[in-house]
Amino acid sequence: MDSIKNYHIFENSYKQFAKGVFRFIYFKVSDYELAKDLTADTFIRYWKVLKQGDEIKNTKALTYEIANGIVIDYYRRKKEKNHVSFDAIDERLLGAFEDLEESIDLKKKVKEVFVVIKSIRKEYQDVLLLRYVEDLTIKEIAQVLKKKENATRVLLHRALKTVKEKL
Amino acid sequence: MKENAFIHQLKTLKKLEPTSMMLATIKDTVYHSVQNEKKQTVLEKCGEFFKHNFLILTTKPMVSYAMGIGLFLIAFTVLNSGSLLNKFHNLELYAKVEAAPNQYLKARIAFADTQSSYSMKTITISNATDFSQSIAFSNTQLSQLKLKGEKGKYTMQECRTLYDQYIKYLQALQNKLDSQHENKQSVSKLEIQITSYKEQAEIKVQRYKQL
Repeated sequence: MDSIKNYHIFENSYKQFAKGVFRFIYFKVSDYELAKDLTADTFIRYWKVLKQGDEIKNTKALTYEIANGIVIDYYRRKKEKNHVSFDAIDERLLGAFEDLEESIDLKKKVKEVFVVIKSIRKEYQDVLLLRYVEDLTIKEIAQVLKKKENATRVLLHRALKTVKEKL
Repeated sequence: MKENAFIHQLKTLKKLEPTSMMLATIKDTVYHSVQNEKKQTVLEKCGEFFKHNFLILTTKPMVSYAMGIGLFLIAFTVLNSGSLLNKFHNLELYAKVEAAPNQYLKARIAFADTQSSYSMKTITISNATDFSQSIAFSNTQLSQLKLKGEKGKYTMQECRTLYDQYIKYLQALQNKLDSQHENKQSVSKLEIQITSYKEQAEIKVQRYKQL
């Protein structure tokens, strides 16, 4: 029975969060193929966590927490500093836009945003992406970044302040 | 750009999404990995069962003789059945793949097995299902290769060479199926499967140019 329940939780989580997790990882590694591999690793690890049978309070936060850990492990293995270089968006991410003009406009906007994002600290980037792109609550972000809720709130405030100064 | 405008602009990033094909590939990789794990668990449980009952068998010789004869009869029946023989072969293959230290070797073992088992045979309705499973297993192992290689495990060049061989093999299979006029209908599903794998492989090889 447990394995059927786990399977349903897993299926629902994949349906709901796979796109977001892929995007979150892509923003952190800037490589479409690598993002694919790390997204798969995220959900394989997620399945292992489900199998352990511990109570999961928030599947969304857990999925992003695992994704964040997977990216950290990847950079640790590569002994490289985490970076977001964003000279070009992979065309495959714009696949949903049939209208060429719309995708050109979007590309321009994304580049503008990323010029600012690139220039701020990594943890500010994370908190902004999780809050405004992935729509996580402060509580969920705190779980993903392994911080206290108050500290996360302060981090978001400082990230926005830094952005404001740069604009 | 003001702070609110920046937040609004950040939200537009939600529109960036991977293709549905990419999501399906990721799901396929995840499920294959999960299924492999399940197979391993079943084998572990069998091992535990035999370990647990070994003591009983050593203390009661009559029971062990009866079990021995029973196992011999089962083995005899099984060995006379081709498809079950194939299942044993698959079990051995899964064990070899599982024991391989990295994904490149796993993919090579699976692909070599498909080549050696089916390249010389005419694909018919009787072996089409087995072949379909074999090529699906190879394709899954190959699709899990990381394009850039993995440090200390395998290189990008090794990956690419393997993919080139795989595409040539799929092309040869396609030609073979095209020229095969008998059993055409029975192998049509296989033809679709091979075409789809070939397309996937070609897309992956194309990506090497972007690296």
